[in-house]
Amino acid sequence: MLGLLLGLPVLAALFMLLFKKQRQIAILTRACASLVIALSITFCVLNYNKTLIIDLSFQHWLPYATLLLEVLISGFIIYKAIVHKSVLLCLLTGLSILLSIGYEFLYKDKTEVSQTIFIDKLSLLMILIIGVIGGIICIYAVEYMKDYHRHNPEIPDRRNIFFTVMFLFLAAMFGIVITNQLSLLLLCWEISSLASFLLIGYTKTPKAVKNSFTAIQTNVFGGLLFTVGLVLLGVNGIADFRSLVSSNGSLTVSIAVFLLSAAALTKSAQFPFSGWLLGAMVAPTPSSALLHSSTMVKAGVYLLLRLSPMLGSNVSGITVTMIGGVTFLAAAMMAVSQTDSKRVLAHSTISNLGLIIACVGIGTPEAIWAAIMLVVFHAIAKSLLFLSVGSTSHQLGSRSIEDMDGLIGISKQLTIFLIIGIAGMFIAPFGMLIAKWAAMRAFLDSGNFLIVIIVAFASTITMFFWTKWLGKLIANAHRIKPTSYVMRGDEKVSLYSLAALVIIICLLHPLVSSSFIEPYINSTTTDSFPPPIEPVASAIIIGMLCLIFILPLILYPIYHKFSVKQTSLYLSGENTGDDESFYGGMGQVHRVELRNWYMQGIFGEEFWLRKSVYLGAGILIAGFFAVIGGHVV
Amino acid sequence: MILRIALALFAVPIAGGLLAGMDRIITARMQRRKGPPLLQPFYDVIKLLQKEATTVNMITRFFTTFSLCFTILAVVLLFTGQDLLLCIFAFTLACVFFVIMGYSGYSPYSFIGAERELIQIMCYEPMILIAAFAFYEVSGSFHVEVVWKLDQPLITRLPLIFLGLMFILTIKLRKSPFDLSMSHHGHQEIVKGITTELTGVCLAMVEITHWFEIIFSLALVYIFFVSSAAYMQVLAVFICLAVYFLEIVIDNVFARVKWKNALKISWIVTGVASLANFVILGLL
Repeated sequence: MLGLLLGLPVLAALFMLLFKKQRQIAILTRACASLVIALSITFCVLNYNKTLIIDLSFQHWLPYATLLLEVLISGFIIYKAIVHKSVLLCLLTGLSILLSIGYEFLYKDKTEVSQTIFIDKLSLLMILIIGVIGGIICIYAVEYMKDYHRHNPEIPDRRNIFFTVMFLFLAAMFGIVITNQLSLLLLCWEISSLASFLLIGYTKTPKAVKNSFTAIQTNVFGGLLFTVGLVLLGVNGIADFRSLVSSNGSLTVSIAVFLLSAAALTKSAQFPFSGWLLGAMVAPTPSSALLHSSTMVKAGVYLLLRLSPMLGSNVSGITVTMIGGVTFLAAAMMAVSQTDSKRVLAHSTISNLGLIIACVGIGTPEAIWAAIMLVVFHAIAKSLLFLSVGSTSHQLGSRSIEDMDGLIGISKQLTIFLIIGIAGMFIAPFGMLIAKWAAMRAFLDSGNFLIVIIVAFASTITMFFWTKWLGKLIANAHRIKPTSYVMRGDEKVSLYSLAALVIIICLLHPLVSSSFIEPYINSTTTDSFPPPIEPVASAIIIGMLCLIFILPLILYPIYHKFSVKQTSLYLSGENTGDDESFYGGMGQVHRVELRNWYMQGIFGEEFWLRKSVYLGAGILIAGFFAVIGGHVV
Repeated sequence: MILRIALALFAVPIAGGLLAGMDRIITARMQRRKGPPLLQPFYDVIKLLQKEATTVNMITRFFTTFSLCFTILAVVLLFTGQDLLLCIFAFTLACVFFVIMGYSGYSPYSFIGAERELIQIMCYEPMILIAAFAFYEVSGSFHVEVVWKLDQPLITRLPLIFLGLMFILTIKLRKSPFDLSMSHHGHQEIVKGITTELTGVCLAMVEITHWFEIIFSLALVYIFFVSSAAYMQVLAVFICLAVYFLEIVIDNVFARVKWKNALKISWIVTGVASLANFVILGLL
C-alpha cells in the first residue's frame, strides 16, 4: 500500500514523459490525480489505528540508490548552473553533494537506522493534505494549462513536462512526510527543490529563468545547511528523527538542530529567504497553488514540527519564533500595498507561514496544536484562492484586484469561491481564525510578550488587506450583467470541492483535532493535553458558521416580500442616471471610478522588503552565534 | 444565563440609546444649545422604521442585518461570560460586515467611508486584542466570568493598557478627532460617509448597532474596574459613565485628524502602552 502511494505519482510522472498528445496527457492526469486522492484517503483509513514502522536497513542498496539519485540531481543542477553561468549555484550544489558523498561513506556504519519509515498521525494528516489537495490542483491544472497555452501562444507547450514535475513533486512530498531517516528526507527535499525550479522556470521567459534560479539558489543553500546538519548529527551517531529527539543536547546536536531549522526556514520562505516565493509567481497558477498551499512551503513546516521537541525556550526555538513573528508582521504589511492578486496571495502565504513557524518555535503542545491546525486550514483555503484567482485572471485578462469589481458580472460562482477563500483566511468563524485563536493562547503562555504584541498587529493588518479585497469583490454587485462565462468540468469539480472542504473542515474542526492532532501530540508528550479550544467555544464557532449560512435563508424571503424601491446613487445630485457617471463642472460626463487604498507610503514593498530581509538575517546570525556561544560559555 | 441573555438583548439597546441621547444633550449644552430630548435617538429610530424603504441595491440590507446580528451576538457572548477573544472575534466579524456594507453601496461617499472605517478598525483592533491578552495574563483565563472573582480590579495591574484602551475607544465610537468614516453630524467632506446610501430600516439598524457598540465598548472598560467587591461592581458602572462623558468632551474639543495621523498615533500609543505594561508585569 505504501509502495503504491509513493510509486503511483512517480509512475504517473514517468508515463507523462512518454505521451505527447494533449488529450492523452489530460486523461492520464485526471486518472492519476483521482487515484492519488483515493489512495491517500484509503491509506489513511487502513492505517489509522496503528503507527506504521518499516525497517529497510537490510536493503543494502538503498543508501547507494539514494546517493546515486542525489548525484544525478546535483549533476543536473550544476549543468543548468554552468549553462546559465551561475558560479554561486555551482559552488553551493558541489559543496553540498560532496558533503553528502562524504557522509554516506564515512558514517555509514555509525548511522544504521532501524526505523526507516515511520508513519504516525501527523504523517497521515500530511498525506491527506498532500494527496487530496495536490490531486485536486492537478485535476484543475488540466483545463487551466489548456487555456494558458491558448492565451499565451508564445510560450512553448511542454505540458507533459509540467505534469511530470507536478506528480514528481507529490511523490517527493509523500517521501518527506513518511521517512524517519534524515538522509532519505534530504533526497526528497532535493527532489522538491528541483521540482520547484522546473515549475518556476516553465515558461522559459527571461524573468521566469531568473526567478527560478533565485529559487534554486535559496533552496540549494537550504539543502547545504541541511547536509551540514546531517553530517554533524552523523558525528554523534544520529541519523533519524526518533533518536534525534531523544538525544542529549550536546554542542554539535544543538548546532545541527539550528542548521536543520534554518534549512526549514528556506523552504518555508521565511525572512531572509522569502525572495524565491515572491518570484515563484511567474509560474502558471496551478503550480503556484501547489507550491504555496500543500507542498513546498509545508515541507519546511513539517521538518520543524518533527524538530519541535528540540525547540522551545532554547536559542534555536527563540530564533525560529522571532523570525516567524517578524515574517508574519512584515509580509502582512507588504501584502497591503499590492494590487496584483497573486502577489497578495504570495505575501499572505509568507505571512501565514510566519505565524505557523512562530508556533512551532514555541514548541508547547498547545502551540503545536495550533500550528498543525493552521497547516490544515491554510492548505485548503490558500489552494482555493489560488485556483480561483487563476480562473479569474483568465476571465478578466488581468490579475489586478482593482479590476475585480467587475467579476461578479462575469461569474457569480468565482466571486463566491473567492469570498469563501478569503473568509477562510482571516475571519471568525472560519478555520484560520480558530487556529490563530489557539496560537494566541500559546504565545501568551510562553511568556514571550514581544511575539504577543507582534501577533496583535499582524492579525489586524491581515484583516485589513483581506477585507479591502473582499470589499472590492462586492463593491459592484448591483450592476450584475448576465453571466457570460461557464465553468468547465475540471475547474468546477476542483473549485467546488475545495470550497466545500473549507466549510466542512471548519464545521468538523473538533473531529480533525481529536482524530489526528491530539493523538499525535499525546504520543510526543507525557503531560496530559486538553485541546486548546473548549467544546463550548467550538460549539459557538460552529453555531456562528451555521448562522452565516442560515441568516440569508431567513432574510431572503422576508426581503423578497417587502420589495423596496431601488434608487440611484448619491453623486452630489449630478448622477446621470446610470450610477456609473456624473456631470462635471462644464456639463461633461465623467465616469465614477473608485480605487482601493494601497498605502504605498506606509506599507510599500521596496521599503519593507529589504529591511525585513536584513532583520531576518540578523536574527538568524545572532541565533547561530548564540547557539555556539551558549555552549562555549 | 437566560436572565443575562435577556439583559443583553433588551437592556443593552435601551441603555445604549439612552447614552446616545445623553450624548446629544451634553454635546448641545457644550455648544450652548438646548439639545433634543433624552429619548430623541429612539424617536429617530422609530421614524426611520416607518419610512418608505428605498435602496441603491439589493444586497446592502443583507450586510446591515448581518452586522447587527453579529454585534448582538458579541454582546450576548460578553454578557454570558464567554471567552473574551471569542467576543472580540464576533465583534470584528460584525465590523467587517459593516465595512462591506459600505463597499457595496458603491457611491464615492460610502466607498471612501468604508475604506476609512477599515482604517479605523486597523487603528483600534491591535489594542483591543492586546487588552484581551493582558486580561488573560493577569487573570489566567480568557473567560470574562473571572473578573467578578478577582481580589483586585485589573486596572491595578494594567494601568497603561487601560490608557491605551481609552485612547482607541475614541476611534471605535467614531468620536472626533477620529470620526473619519462617518460623523454623527452631516458636515463631513464625505457627507455621511459609510452610511450615505442607507435609508429607512437599514439606517435604523445601523443606529441600533451603534447602541450595542457603545455598550460593548464600555463593557470593556467595566472589565478593567470590576472585582469581587460589591462596591467595585457598582463603582465600575459609574467609571464607565465617566469614561463616556470624557469621550463626549474629546469629541467636542478636537478637530478631525487625517487618517495617516490617526493610524500612526494609535499604533504608537498601542505599542508603547502595551510593551511598557507587559515589561512592568514581567518585573513585578
